[in-house]
Amino acid sequence: MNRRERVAVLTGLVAATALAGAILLWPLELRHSAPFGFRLTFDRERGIAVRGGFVTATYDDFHRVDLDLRAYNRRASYDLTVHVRPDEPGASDVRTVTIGHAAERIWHVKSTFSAPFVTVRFPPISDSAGRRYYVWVEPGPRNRNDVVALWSIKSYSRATGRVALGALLADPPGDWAARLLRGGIAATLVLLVAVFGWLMAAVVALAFPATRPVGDGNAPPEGVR
Amino acid sequence: MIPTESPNFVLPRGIRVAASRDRHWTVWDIDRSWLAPLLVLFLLKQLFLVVIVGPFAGHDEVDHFWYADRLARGHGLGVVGSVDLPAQAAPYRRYVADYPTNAEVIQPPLYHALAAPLLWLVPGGVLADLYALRLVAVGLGAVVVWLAYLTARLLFPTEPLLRAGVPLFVAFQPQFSFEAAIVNHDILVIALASVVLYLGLLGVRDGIRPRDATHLGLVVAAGLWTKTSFGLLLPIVAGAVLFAWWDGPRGARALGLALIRAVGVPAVLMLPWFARSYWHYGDPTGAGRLAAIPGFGEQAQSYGEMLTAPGFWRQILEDFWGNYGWRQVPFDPETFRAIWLTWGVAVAGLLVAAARAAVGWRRPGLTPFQRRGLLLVVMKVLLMAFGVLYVGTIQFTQARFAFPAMIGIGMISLLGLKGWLPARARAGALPLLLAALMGLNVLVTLRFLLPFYTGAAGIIDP
Repeated sequence: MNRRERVAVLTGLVAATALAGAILLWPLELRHSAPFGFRLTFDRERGIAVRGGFVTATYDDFHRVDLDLRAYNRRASYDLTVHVRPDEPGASDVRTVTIGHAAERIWHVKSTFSAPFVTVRFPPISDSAGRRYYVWVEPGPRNRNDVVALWSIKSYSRATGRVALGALLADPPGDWAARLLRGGIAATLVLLVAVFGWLMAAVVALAFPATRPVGDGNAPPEGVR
Repeated sequence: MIPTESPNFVLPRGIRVAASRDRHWTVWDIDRSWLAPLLVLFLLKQLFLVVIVGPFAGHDEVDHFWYADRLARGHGLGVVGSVDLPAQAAPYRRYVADYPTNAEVIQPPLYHALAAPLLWLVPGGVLADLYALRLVAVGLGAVVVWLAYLTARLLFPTEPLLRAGVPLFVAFQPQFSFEAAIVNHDILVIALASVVLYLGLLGVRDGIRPRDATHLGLVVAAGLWTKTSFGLLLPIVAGAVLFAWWDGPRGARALGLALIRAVGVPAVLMLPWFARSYWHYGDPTGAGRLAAIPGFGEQAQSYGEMLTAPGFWRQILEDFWGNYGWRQVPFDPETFRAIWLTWGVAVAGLLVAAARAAVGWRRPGLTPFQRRGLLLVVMKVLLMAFGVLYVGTIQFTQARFAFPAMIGIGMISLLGLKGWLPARARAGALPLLLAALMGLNVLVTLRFLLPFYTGAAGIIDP
């Protein structure tokens, strides 16, 4: 094995290890399951916008909501308190966060390419997987008489890819041969990481040939006589 | 020594063809070392997608599946409005455009007819059949990745950035990956359109013999019998025939015969389907009937409305990169922005290259074949983009209708990237490109796709 090949193999090994490490250890913000990515809060029966809605956490460590807030009064700023409360009788808030935004940031007319959501993070709720929460927004004392509505909510858990993959392996899709399917999925994932390393090594070998690389014109590549 | 062409030195066609074939075999010795793991990685990635995407959650997957099932059971083609989905489809009604009507029976039946024998052979119930057909989509996706390599190698045999970069782009494009993991005739259309581009370019380089024109025509006919929008490729085929004729003896009879074989024959072969559609729906493609689907036709807009609406372009850009399963699983805005910015900067490299050429810093360095080939590639991308807009005049439209030009889109993106990079750094960008594309796929799978379908609140079952 020459030096170039050693470098390529080493890069492939590092790439595969980095990929496995990133998947298993890198903390991500995993978006909870919701059609189109968000939960609508619209009150269909009364046909009105409201200030709260329900989300269901897909995983533990629910720690973030993205709120599509809509303000209707051109006031300088809005002081709001975001409440997160389990959807259970008699439950009290498990998280409250105060936020402040200028009216134009949450103005009800949003430009096409603007981000409509305001991100609110809070300390993770550890046992949130599968539980439903009511998220609602309360205007501060200065904004008691100002109209502000919550159109939709996205919610997230802070977790590694291991959590997402673990949930898949714990309950693989389909009603048959769960153990076989679980083994197949796990084997596919391991192979994916290994083959990525193989591909990276091959691409590095292509990118850094032993002789001078091909220039801009139409000279033949390495090995072509 | 293999003779090489340059912008100032054009080889006679016979020598050029022999030299190119020699070079391709030599390049193949180099490229198979990365192409094999790329195809294996693509297959593994797609298998994972097949498993995690909820049953029938792909766009139109219910309709396409039961269209094939209908043919497998010998129930005939059917007419939209008179063909209802079976009771087994009821759990998946939320994934149907016009439940209980099967609107996809308006499409030509080649994909579904080819799928029917598989449904006879696969044991088990509906889900086993569904996953078997999804595996067919994976295979067709791999064919497209392979064709991306062949096409890039044909046009740019001495450019590793393009030879490897174009198939990498196609293999890791998130929405294309989704198309290649669900039951849908679009993946067959993409594969056949990619074959047409490759054969057309091959014809431009090597000349088109009568047999080649016939082969091209048969592939076009297969594409038309899969989806009538394949007709948008006819100008590309005609362009390839014209270029090939221009370099040949240039007899009017030879040109006429080649055009008849490559363009006329498929059009004639398609006539029975056009006549049937006209008989049942009042127009050759059934577009009018599609517009009548509740909730779809109302979203039709004029070309002007679409072209001038920022919201339309945002939707198209989102759909192009990743808006899985009836747009139910989009990326987050910040992810879309990061992708658009990176892609936009890469494509802007074309302007850099053009500016360099304009001020005389660097000649484009393209051979006549490369210029003609790129013209056909760009034409194909533009025609497919027009197809997206055309569908938008009938009903709501989606960027995936341009995916038959995915190889061209990848090639333009990589040429843009090439424009930014000095010659020595180009191949060196490949590991970074691979890392970025793999990272994107891992990120969107872990952050959006897996949590949507699996986990405590996942909705893998309707």
